[in-house]
Amino acid sequence: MEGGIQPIRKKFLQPNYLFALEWREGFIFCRVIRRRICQYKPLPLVNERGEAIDIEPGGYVAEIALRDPRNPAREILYLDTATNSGYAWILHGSIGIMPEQIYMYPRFPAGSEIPGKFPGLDPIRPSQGDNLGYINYEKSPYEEPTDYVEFVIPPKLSVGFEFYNKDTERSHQPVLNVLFAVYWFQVLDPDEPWQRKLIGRIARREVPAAFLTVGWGDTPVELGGILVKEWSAKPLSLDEASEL
Amino acid sequence: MVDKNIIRQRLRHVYKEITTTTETDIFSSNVPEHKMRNIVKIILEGNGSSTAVVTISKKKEDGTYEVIIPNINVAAPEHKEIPQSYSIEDPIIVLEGGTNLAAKLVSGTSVHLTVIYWDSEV
Repeated sequence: MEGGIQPIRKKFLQPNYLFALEWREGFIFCRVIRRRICQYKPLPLVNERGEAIDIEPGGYVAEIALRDPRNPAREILYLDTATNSGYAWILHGSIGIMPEQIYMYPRFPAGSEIPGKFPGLDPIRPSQGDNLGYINYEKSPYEEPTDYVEFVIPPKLSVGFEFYNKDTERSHQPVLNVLFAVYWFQVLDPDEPWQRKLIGRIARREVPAAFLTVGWGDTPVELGGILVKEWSAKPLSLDEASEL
Repeated sequence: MVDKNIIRQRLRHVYKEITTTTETDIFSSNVPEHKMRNIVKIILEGNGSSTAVVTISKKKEDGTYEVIIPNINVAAPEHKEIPQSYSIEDPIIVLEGGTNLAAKLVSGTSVHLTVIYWDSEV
């Protein structure tokens, strides 16, 4: 990979690693307690009835979720509770895709932003196979999913996907490699003295920590009242955190 | 960077029977302007009844033809590959946007021609 794009497996966090999650309201600072690597490979694209989707030349698939072919009622990239086994949790990962002629346009949250939009340009049109905002084999190969588009998916939010077949002669079925980590993590509390110090050190870059942004629009996704309450989260600006 | 895995997914072929002494375009339309077409192999097959001599040319953007390989002799039962050994990463001819590959008979009645190629962009 080139240009600062790297395999997503190199970015997965280990237990006891520190990270900051950026939301619209600010940053929350966290420590990984446990993690689980989850991979669905190969994952054929299926509809709500579990039928494989074959996209005709120049064809388009309107926004759908990634579903488990064994039970299509289940969305693969969805956490239905705010916490699990007493901890906050989140999905972090990426998707590899083939063949190259299939362009995949993710939307997160479902129905909203597509990544990769130049700030001054008109909206991306997946139905027209626009040449921006897509993921294909070249950007995130099936064998080695990259962070070209890095998914950070909190509980209770879905991801939508649209597909376009750029091949003018052949039909193709998208095949995906869904490679994610589930992190169970501790949300650091700025009102607890030892955690307060740690938050300050993360914000001042005195200790190694990853920064993950929730969403890829012009502004991050909103944390919202439910997660604030269930995670006991207290978002801070980077300046506020640096002063702790 | 286009690596071998990507080329494998882009590999295409086109078949044409050449039956006239005037230039016949191999691809149904010229190479799209934003693409480069990399030709990695040309296969010629005799018609089984008579020898043919064929010339392969490039059709330029102005519609004129430039000979690439003249007077290829293909006997009736012959199977000929150009090049004989090849790699999909190493094209023998590159066509830019707006051009095409063409072939014509110099003598004989027909010859079967297959071209293996891939494009620089999907």
